[in-house]
Formats: sequence, structure tokens, C-alpha cells
Amino acid sequence: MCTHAQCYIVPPYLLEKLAKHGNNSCKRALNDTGRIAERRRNSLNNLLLRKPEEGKGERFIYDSKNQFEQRLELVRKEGQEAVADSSVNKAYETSGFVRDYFKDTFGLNSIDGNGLDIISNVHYGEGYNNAYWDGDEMTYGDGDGKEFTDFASAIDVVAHELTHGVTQFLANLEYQSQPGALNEHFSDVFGTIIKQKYLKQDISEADWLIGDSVVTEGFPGLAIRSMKAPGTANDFDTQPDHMDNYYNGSGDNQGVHINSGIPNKAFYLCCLEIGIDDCALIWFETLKSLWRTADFNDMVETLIRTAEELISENKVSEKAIEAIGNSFSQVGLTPIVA
Amino acid sequence: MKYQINIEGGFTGIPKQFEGELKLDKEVEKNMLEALSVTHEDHSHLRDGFTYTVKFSDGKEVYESQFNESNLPENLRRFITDVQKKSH
Ligand SMILES: [Zn+2]
Ligand SMILES: [Zn+2]
Repeated sequence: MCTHAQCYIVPPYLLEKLAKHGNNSCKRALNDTGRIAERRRNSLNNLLLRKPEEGKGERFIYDSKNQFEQRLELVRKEGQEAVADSSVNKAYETSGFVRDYFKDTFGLNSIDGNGLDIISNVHYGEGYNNAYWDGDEMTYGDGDGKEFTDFASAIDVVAHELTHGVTQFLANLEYQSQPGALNEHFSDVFGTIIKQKYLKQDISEADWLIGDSVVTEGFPGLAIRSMKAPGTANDFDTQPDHMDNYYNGSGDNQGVHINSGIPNKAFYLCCLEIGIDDCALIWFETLKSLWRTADFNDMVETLIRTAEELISENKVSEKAIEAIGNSFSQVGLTPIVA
Repeated sequence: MKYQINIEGGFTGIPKQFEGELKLDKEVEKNMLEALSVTHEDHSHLRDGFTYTVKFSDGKEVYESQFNESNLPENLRRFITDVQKKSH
């Protein structure tokens, strides 16, 4: 065991090792060490801007006016009436829906659990085919109109980006290789869950597609990714759905948007067995227990440990452990039984 | 001057490549090559940002550098946006 006080002097690599073996207080300390270092840097840089009290998770929507600039002009903030620009209203509405989902379902107060304001930039750049999270805010392009259209208007895209923020504060999975693919996976998981809630679908009605509403008719495919059938969403989709086809190249930060297909498929299969709400809770609690360098095997181990805990508290189906084992075995990640 | 631009990552994860040749004003060319040589900081919390690999060659030398959303110099950003627009 490792008490809180001791953890501060344990070097981060050792804390990572301990966290790997399921020591939650070490895992917390590991996150804390990073956070403390960062906070120290920030407070030194910006002594006056530090706000220790909890925020209200308020929405701020900025218009980049087709320039490559963030926070250019504030066009709508929390509580204000709708404006004429539908991208602005969509970003406002969907980011609120995502925030409320995390709050109502898991008691998470905004992105960081501490009421961080939710900042979105719409109409970023010219024909910009992307949406991203940069550590403190979201940024959306309009798309080029040829293959892609307004990224800010899609619930699954908004949920995906906002979840990158949640992941940053809960587990800080590094953005390369397997931890990076897990980072992408969690964003697609909550992207798809929240999309189904938003559309009031059940899992049999859902299409399990990510980004189907941001592709145009001219785009050679239905969507950007498919959780049900990774690798089939469009002509460029190279996502594997099994470890046999794992991508080992260096592109895309060693395949963060590619290898995420493997856990994505397992998530879909698991939802078929125990339902999406039990999976949502297991995945969310697992995210809280993961650490910066966690890989696919760590993920499976942590999911099972988390499910055991949740079953003992009567919070998820008793079949959860078996369901996780089956789903991940089908994608080539058979859990090692301790 | 010949150029090659590789854009990868991003929310879509679909890589794009643009190649071509262009005649530039000496001063503009010099500024672009300078932009390639500046070292830049990495923004470690960027998620779904594009990675831009920009390569120029003037027949004698090859200049290459990699950027992300937070450190792509303004003149290269403009250049890449123009190249993408022209490819339509
Ligand atoms: Zn920012
Ligand atoms: Zn992402």
C-alpha cells in the first residue's frame, strides 16, 4: 500500500507501475503529481488568474469567422437566447447535452469534474475539415462542402471532442500508440452513447456510426468510422476489428484513429450482451482508473476489475465480466485470468 | 520550387497529400523556407489536430519540417489552404 503522503516522493514511473497493479491511491497520486506540476507552472505564469473555487461549466461559443483564430468573437454564452447562426446554436445545444449527460449519469461536474467552462469555436478556418480539442477548448471547421460539412453541428463529433477533455482530466492517456488508441476509443464510446441518447434510440435502432452527419453525398462512404463494423465506414477506412490486423506503422501517432477500431468493436459487442447503460458505467469508471501509458491489455484487466466492483455494488448486470471477456476475446484480446 | 504536403491525423484520420510546383516571389519563398527552419514547441494536449509535414525543394536542397495545429506558421497555413482549395 501507499499512503497519499508517501506517493508524492515516489517517482512517476514507479507510480505508473503501482497504478498498473490496481493501487488506486497511487493512480490518483500519479495524476496528482502531473497536475501539481502543471498547476505550479500555471500559477507561476499566471498568478492572478487562479480560481480555486468550483466553476459552473458554462458554455461560451466563439465565431472564428473563417479565420484560423480561436476566441475571436464571443457570439453566445450560457443562458443567452439563440442567434441567427445555426452552427452557433447547434454547438451550444449539443455541448450542453453532453455536459448534462456526464453530470446526470455519473455526477461529473463538466469536463474536469470541477465545473470547467465549455468553450467552443465554430467556423474555424477556411474549408477546414476537422474538429479538435486542444487542452482547454473545442474548435470546429465548416468542412470544405465537397466531402465534409459543419463539424460543430454533429452530436457525436461534439461528444467525441468533449470526451477528449474528460479523458485528459481523468486518465490523461498519452496520445500515441495503444494509450492513444484508447484515448480515441473513449471519445468514440461516449460519442456513440451520447448520440443514441440524443436521438432517443435503443441499441437495435442505432447505426453505431461516427460522423455520419458530417460527410456529404460526394464523400465515398457513409460516415467516418463504424463501431459495429470497423473498416467499412468509407473507402479510406483502414480500421482493424481484430488484433490480427493491428496497424504497426508510424502514421497518425502510430495509428490512434486506426487501432481504436479494435476496442470499438469489443464495446459494440459488449453492449449487445449487457446493454449500453451498464457498459457506459463500466467504461466511465474504468477511465477513472486508467493511467497515462495504459495499453489494450491494461484496459481489459481494468474493465474486468471495475465490473467486479460494480457487480458487488449491484450497479451492473452479473453477466458483465463474462460479457467483457467474450467481447474482447472476439477481437483477439483474451483476458488473462489472474 | 517543388512542394509536398502531407496532412494526417485529425478527427477523420484520413491522410491527404498534395504535390506540385510553384513560382514564388523571392521574398515570399525566403519567408516560407525560414518558417520551415524555426523550431517549435509541441502542444501536448492537442487531440484530433492535424499533423502537417511540409517539404520544399528548390532543385539543390530539400527543406522539410513537421507542424501541428498550434504551431503551424501563418504563411504556411495560408499556403496549405490555397493548395487545398486549388485541388478542388
Ligand atoms: Zn486553447
Ligand atoms: Zn479524437
